[in-house]
Amino acid sequence: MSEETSNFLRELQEYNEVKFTKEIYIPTLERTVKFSTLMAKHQDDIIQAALDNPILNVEFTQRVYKILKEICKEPHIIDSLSIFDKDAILIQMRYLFVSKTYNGVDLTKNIENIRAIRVDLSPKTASIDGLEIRYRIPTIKEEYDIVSQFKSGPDYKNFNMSDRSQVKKFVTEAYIMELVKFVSSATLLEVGSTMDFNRWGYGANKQVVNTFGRLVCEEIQEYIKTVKDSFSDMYKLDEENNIEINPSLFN
Amino acid sequence: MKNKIKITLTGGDVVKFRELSLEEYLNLQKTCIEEDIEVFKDFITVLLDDVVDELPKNMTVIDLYHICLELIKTSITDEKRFSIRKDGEYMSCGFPVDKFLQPVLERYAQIVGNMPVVIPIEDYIISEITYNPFVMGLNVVGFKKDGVYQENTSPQLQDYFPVHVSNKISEVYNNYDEIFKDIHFFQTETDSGSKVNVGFSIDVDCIYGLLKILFKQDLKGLYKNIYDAKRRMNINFNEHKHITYREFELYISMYNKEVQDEQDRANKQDQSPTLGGLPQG
Repeated sequence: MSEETSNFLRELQEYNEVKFTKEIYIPTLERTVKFSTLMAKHQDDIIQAALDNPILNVEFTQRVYKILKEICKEPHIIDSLSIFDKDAILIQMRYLFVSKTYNGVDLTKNIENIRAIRVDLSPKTASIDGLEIRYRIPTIKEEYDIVSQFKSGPDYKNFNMSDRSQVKKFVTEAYIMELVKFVSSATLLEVGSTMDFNRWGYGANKQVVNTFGRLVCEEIQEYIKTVKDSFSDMYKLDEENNIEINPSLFN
Repeated sequence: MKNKIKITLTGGDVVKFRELSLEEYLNLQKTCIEEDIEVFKDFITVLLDDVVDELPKNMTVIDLYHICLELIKTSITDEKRFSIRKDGEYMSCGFPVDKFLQPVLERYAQIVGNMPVVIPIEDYIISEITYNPFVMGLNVVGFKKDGVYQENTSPQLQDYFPVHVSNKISEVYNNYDEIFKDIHFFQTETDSGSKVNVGFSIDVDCIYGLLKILFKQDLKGLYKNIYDAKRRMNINFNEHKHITYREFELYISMYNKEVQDEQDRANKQDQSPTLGGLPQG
């Protein structure tokens, strides 16, 4: 690349920074953070992830994480933000950098709803079936680590949507992965031994979750639903439709 | 000096190329069974560099498609056969290669005069982008900044456009892709019975995917012919890999005709009456 070209690209990037950097509201921080504009290369990267397994969205999760780290003006905060903060950021990025509508619906109301969210981050536990489950709202980094570990494991391979047995397998995997994300620790009450999910990788945590009985899984699902309900207004488009957090958000 | 075939591309460039050798044809067929499309793309890039005298400077995806289909017609076959599914039954159908070429060229000829397209950009450091969606290299051909037009020399330029600018480029691209969308080469069915139209897109990966299908022939049959040629005709692959594939096919065909003629002669002799032989009938 010639020096003239390098200089021009640098000038372009600086111009983008000055002109298009926007404030994006983070619900758990209750303040805004500056983000540089989404560029075409980011958009391409995200859209490429659409070729991946649509049930688990591993590539999308990984690519979004890297892009947020790149364009956030306070990159050190990204790891500790919740996955719902991530969704709030992505919806606002759609609104500010791509289009003010999604599937023909104006997103202004969704942006207002994001600013109105108040999050209860106090630790929650539940005792059921001889187990004490300590919950967590997973961070962006925790989710990134879980999908990355799954991707490097033996079960991740080219996904074929027309193969029903593969679809069933990945739907089950998605369910287990969701439970693992929201569990911080599990303690066997009778014995007093604790499995700290933050210490072990996805593979080990998945094995523990696989031993949970139906009542425990339902209890965890109930907690997940409660948390999701507290953020539901930011996804809502109309009575029947919600914003889908996947590569199509940036198309 | 090898025999060259000359074609004129839609934009006016004249291109000369030679036929594929047997070795090139064999390697091409091996590449066509590779799943990874990038392997095929890399191979075609090298192959065209070898067989074409000089590729056009700003080669378009339509030029690529045109050259490859002419290569198929001259080096491999005039007719491409497919196993097509209709009403649950499979049938073998042959289509002339021109069926996959002419509609695309005709459509492109109608719009090539519009290229490149000037896209006005508001509220940005660049006020205009000159864009050609068909060019394979730098399809952002140039841009206007501070009232001055500059030719683009960087493939990375587009990466730095904010999304609202790149979306304007995508809109133009999609509009031109739409122009080719009603070209349907043939229809087939999936296993579940849904109808699928096999058509054309200006997306470069789709074009390579279609070329891979059109280039693909019977690799196993080719290996058998190479083996038979060595065993029965003393045509050793390593010594004759530079002959063209069409010449090789011709030798196989001439040999098979000789064998058939001998067989026919032998059958005739068996059937003619002989002194002391058994009466016929």
